Amino acid sequence: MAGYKELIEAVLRREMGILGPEKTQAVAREAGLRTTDKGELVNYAVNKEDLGRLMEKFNEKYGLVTVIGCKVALMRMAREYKLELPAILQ
Amino acid sequence: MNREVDTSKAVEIAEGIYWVGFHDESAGFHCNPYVILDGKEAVLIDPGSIPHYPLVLNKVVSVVELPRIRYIIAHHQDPDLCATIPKFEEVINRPTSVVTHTRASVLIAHYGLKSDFYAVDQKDWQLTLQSGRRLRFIFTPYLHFPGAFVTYDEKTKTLFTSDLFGALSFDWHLYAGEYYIEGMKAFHENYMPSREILAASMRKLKKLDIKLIAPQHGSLIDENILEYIEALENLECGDYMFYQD
Repeated sequence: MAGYKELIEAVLRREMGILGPEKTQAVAREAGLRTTDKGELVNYAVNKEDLGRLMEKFNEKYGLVTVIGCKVALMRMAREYKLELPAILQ
Repeated sequence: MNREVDTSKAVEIAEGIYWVGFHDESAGFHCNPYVILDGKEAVLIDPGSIPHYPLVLNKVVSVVELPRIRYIIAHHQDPDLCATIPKFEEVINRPTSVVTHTRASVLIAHYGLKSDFYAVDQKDWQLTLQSGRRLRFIFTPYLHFPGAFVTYDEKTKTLFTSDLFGALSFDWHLYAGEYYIEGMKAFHENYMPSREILAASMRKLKKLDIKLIAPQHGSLIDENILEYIEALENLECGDYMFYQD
């Protein structure tokens, strides 16, 4: 069963396209996430709060464009996996 | 790996075709105007917005004498590509035609143009320049405007795609790099209405022999073109289904 790990990795992949890999990985670190160079999560035990904190960090540093750039895909994934999204993605 | 190109100048992207935009490092949404030179004539494509005008004009005059511009293609009516048309009309200072769809022309007229309209939907979806070079127009309705179309230059096999194949990107390069497809998906998910509509136009584009995709936003695509077309053909886009209640 897919979970928040898949949602967070989808965000990281997307932000690599929008912001580039360096900025994306820097934001992930600030949000307390450990990733590989390809944007795969090293810490597996992640949850809705981790996703929310990551999106808030992107918004704070680079603006809402980085949030809307993920939002439609995340809404679709969350519906498919029956997961709740943090407020910033609703 | 991103190719390094000096974007402070006009860049020849195909024989006689120039990118005349600029790299705005603060923007997540770049605009790409182009010029086609063809003998005594020139075609200006999606010339851009008012804040961009001085920079774009400088690059346009670096590659063409302004009175050679006979046509201005406006793929739809949005200000980020049309707002400077009246300013270009002033400096071109000779009759020009604005090439667009009839549906867009009724809106573009509100910019206060002097030019006449060359309505692609009334002209068999093509324009033949004096040299015999043919530009074909492919209807891409509702992407993202009901009268949207793209322009295919038969000579160089360049496809000018307006909003299609554009991307959200703060990490902009003139040519698409390794992660471009994700920025492209982000843009289309937000601006295109549905997978069904997007896929229908992608199926049309797959029939063309394309060497270069030149979008109005984002980066040029000159490698793995089929991969990008198929990415959009299969993309679930539009968020209308999430707000039905």
